[in-house]
Amino acid sequence: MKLGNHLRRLRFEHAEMSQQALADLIGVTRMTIYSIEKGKYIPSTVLALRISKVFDRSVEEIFFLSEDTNPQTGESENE
Amino acid sequence: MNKQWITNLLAALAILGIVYCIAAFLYMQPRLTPELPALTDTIRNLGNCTIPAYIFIGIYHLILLVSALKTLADKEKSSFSHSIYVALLILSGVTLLSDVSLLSDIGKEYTLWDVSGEWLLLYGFIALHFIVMIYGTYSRIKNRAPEQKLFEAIKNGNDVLFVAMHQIGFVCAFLGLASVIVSLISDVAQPYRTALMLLLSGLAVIPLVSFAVYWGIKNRRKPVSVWVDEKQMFDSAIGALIANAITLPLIVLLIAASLIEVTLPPSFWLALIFFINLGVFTATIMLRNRVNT
Repeated sequence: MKLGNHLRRLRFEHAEMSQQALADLIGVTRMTIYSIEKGKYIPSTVLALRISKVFDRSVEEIFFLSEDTNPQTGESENE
Repeated sequence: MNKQWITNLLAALAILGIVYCIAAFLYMQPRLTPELPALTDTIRNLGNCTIPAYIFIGIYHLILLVSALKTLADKEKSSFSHSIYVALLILSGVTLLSDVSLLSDIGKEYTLWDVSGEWLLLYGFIALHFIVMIYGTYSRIKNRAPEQKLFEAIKNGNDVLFVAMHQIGFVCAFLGLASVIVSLISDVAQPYRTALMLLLSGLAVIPLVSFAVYWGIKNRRKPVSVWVDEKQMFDSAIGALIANAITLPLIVLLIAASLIEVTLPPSFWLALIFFINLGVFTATIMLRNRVNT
């Protein structure tokens, strides 16, 4: 069981926001954003809530539990 | 005369200075023996001319350090090989002071006893300065440092600097382990062997300590909780866990070995454990921060 996410898609939907721009908005480093997107690091609740606030979505709309696949699309999210 | 022109002039003077020092020391070494009761005018003049040479070498080290730190903070240009260069550059800068101390010892003691050990260390340090300066000049020309000011570069490159600090730590751990092993296998008498090990190990950790102090100074106005972000904190915790998991059994092994017949002075134990721990810790953090593009 892994934690998948739509971060990459959401960044692109928000004026192609860069990893660094998102990192600056929520007060972490670019490497942290990269690791979350790749599924290498599971963010804390506080960080997940900060991300959801930036994109104005609920945490569940951004993060989901998966067996390496997205339950909504059936595709791998760990790009 | 622009800034670049002055920097190039200083680079040329520093490289000329180090070549002069090598030539002067090669001339002086065979002549400075207990058979020579007082310094000749030639040796004295050659010795006096090394002072401006060392000043140019010292200034050029500072220029290279600023340029190297700017490049280190740059995401595109930073790399493990560059971190190795920064660690060696800091080590080379610090050992410039050791050169002065060694030259002073040679000048005072050559009439009393054999100073070949001091000459050997001096040549080792000079080789380090030479390699670092030649590589630094090549790197400075080929890979021009970002134009932004140093503190601005440091401020913008937080995650790059975090990884770079651990890369430098890994190099220091490697140098430290090499120092302990070299001291152990050297045929120096026991008290001097410990002193040699402590000296070399101390020099080995200076790049990491300097970089950590620098990191602390740059973050001094921020609360400690924001010095690293949550992933960096998590990586540090994992690194510490793995480092301790590896070094604790090693301590048990060393205790068992000492109970049998193998005797290793406590200072060697401490250094060995410390550098292995540092190496595993920094390697773990480096591995956890690889970017697969």
